[in-house]
Amino acid sequence: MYKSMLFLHWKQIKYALIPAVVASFGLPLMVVSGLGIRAARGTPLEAYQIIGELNTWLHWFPSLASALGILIGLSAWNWDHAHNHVYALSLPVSRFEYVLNKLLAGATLALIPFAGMWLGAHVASAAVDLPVGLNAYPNQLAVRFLFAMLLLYGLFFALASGTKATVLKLLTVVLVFVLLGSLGNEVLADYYPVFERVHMVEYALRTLIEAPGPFQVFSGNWALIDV
Amino acid sequence: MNSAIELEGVGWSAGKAFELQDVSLSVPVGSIYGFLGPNGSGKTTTIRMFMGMMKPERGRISVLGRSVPKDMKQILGRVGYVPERPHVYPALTVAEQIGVHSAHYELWDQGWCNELIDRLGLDPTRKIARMSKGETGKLLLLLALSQRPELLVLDEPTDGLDPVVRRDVLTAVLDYVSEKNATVFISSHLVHELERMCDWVGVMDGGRLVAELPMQHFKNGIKRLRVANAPESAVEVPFTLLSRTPDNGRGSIETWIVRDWEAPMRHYFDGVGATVRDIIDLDLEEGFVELLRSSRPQHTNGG
Amino acid sequence: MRWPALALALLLGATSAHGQERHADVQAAQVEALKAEIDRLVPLVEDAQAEVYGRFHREDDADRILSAALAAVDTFEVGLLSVIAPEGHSGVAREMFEEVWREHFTNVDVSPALTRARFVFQRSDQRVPIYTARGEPRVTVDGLGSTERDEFLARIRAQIATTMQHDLTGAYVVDGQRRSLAVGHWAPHSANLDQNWSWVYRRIALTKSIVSRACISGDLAGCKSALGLGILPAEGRVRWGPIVVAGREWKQPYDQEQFARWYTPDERRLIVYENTNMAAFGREARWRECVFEDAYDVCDDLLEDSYGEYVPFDGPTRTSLLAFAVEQGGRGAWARVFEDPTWTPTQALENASGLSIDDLVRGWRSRVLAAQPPAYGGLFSSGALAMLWFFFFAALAMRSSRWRLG
Repeated sequence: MYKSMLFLHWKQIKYALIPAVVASFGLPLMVVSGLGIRAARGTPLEAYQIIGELNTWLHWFPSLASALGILIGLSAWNWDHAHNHVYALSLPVSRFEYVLNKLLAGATLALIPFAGMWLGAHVASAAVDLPVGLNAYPNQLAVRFLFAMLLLYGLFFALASGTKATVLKLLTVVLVFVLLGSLGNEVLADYYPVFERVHMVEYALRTLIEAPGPFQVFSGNWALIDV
Repeated sequence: MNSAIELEGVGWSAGKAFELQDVSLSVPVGSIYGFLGPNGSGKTTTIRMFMGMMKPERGRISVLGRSVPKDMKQILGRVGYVPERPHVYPALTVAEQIGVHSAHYELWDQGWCNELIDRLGLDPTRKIARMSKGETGKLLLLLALSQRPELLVLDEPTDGLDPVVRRDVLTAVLDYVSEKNATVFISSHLVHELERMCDWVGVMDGGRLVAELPMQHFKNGIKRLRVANAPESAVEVPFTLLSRTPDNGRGSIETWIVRDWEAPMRHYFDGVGATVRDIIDLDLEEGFVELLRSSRPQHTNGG
Repeated sequence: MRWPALALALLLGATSAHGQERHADVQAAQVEALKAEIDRLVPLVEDAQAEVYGRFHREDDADRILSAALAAVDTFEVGLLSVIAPEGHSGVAREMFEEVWREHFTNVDVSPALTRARFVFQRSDQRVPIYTARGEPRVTVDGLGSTERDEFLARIRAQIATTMQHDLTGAYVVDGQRRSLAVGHWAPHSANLDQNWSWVYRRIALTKSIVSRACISGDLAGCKSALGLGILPAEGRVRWGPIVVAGREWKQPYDQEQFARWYTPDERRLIVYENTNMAAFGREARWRECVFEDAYDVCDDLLEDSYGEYVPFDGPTRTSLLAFAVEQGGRGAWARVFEDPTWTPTQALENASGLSIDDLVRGWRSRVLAAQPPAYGGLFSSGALAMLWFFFFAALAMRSSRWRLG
């Protein structure tokens, strides 16, 4: 069953996944390409310059991981929705088995861009002549990429499995919270001074990003090259 | 186990729009059960109830001797299902779809599947997106049959198919039944299609099961009578009076539609001072229409 | 046309020169007048200031305010510190101050600014200060109940460090001698000492210099050179940042050989490139020549003419060596740094630590390298957390209402 789920998911996502894998492979190479150009010009690569150059690219890694996670997550249930889940429900499998196999099939697909990233990061690391004091972290970067991708995949897998009404309700709650949190805070602060220091949206974001919040994996280091 | 499918007082509602009202039906093992009813009468909802896709609000369901929805996994392994709308994936070829589907069934018979491919004239390399409606219908039947099911549930399997394909599909079903002695539950609103193959009929209308009887009874038991001097009230009649309407311009003559008719019942009219002028056999479709007409409250006339 | 134009130019030039002479005379007269006016006004301003100060800072008022404020507080000593805290919080304040002092400041035995100061401990949301005297270091916390203990300790430590910094960067007198020590710049981030050493590691690793790379690779001479320890106090423009004794700077003349030992020609060009000041005052053409045309000799010329601190390891990094020396030297180490204002940094560090400069730098280097920050520290714990959430989300998918039609 797992294989057939994997096959089905692959079938519908392959045209999006192939460029994504190319991007995953290419991103680390793009990141160090600037360094290569400078080296070719004969300008020495100082450690802090390498770090500075790489810093300008750092946000692309979590962005790409997020995009891929969302892509795989949203596509997981496409055909089930198209057939109103009738097919899934007519199969002689329990709901648990079905969801688990579907989940694992998507997670397996996430390994493809991960492999691309891992390979690209290794090639990129090998292409740069690192000064003393700096190290390349291709494995760690690729692993963080995978974790971030899986996390977003899991989130959107859950969201996409719900009805449109459920997703709309969720989005409405988030939107209302953000609006109330930002506008309401200012109004409340006029009456209750404690709101001058307590910012609900900021607090919520911090809760999400800091452990044990779900997005903690995004807040760590994404550098291919670091001290 | 005498019934392949058994529903007892099953009820479910979708707000005010639709309600399934205490449906009780019993599909004998080895029978071909035609499930008739106009569009929107609740056929598909009833099927989804006993296929475990929807949860009834009340009542009890068992399929192949097991409880629904508790034993759904075991039940579905023995049931071949052709849904109302195709659930195949357009991006796959026939062979790929078969590969994907077969992975879920322990009893899948690939040899039988290959034979069906030949018999139904399907091309394994053909992409589903490029297949005609008839070919898709055949593929769905193939998927349902290749798992060697004990119970075949077909929800409007021939809807929209041309007569040739329709015949192919129904022939394949009959062949399978004769070979395996499986139970077939087939829903349709095309009455004549079921006339030749079914041995039991259930009729749904407005979320109620208005009739459930052997096909033979259905075919022979519904008559149109022309009655002279009909009594004003028809109480304690030995048959089921479905409707009575005055014959326009013919004085005291009325047309009665009756069910469960047998020849000796003619004496009833002698006893009430009426005379039966004609007894006309209705074909299945006419009988079905009269049955529906009589089941709807606003048209009920006596009985 | 040429002759009349020339004549006009000469005329204008002469007029201008004459005008400038006259203008200078007028300016000199005005300056004298202004000086006289200032001499007249200054005593008046001073008298006015004294009057204002007297009104607002009368001793009896200050005492009255102080005694009123102290009535509701506890005052206690911790090390060199005097701490004032609300009665209800004095227990926890004492405990925390003692912990901070014990962990980080035990070796500080000479710091008049610390002994002079009273550390006020109060909640930040307490609008009315518990103690109204001005200029006291004040440790504030956001709601005592909710503030993390570690964060609170860090604040106390930062406050003490800030007080010391203020003390040490300004000139003050110890044992009759004028001293200055910018040690407050060391480890500004948190109370976590390991993090501070990691911070130093990062600075070292990112330093552009031949000798800094040699130091990381294990060359002790490279470390000493990068720390600027080989430079003697003499004429020049390079000073050893953290220790400035008796108002004198340790100076080093621009020495091309020294620069060549520290930096490659490209690195010297990079220094010029990053220092846009070197393009000022009509030097832009030379600056561009250096930066864009690989004219290394022009780069060296610009460096020679410039003011800047070119010791490869920067002030905070060098200060970490001083802190390490004091740590090694134990009690009294601070005072020993200043024993002789004529000492070179090497002598001062050896005297403070009780170690030879080689042993000291070797130990410092080991300490720094041991604190190499884990670039991907916590990756697997955050990955495990992500996986927990992943399966939590999957469990939500299991509960989806999609699973029931209708």
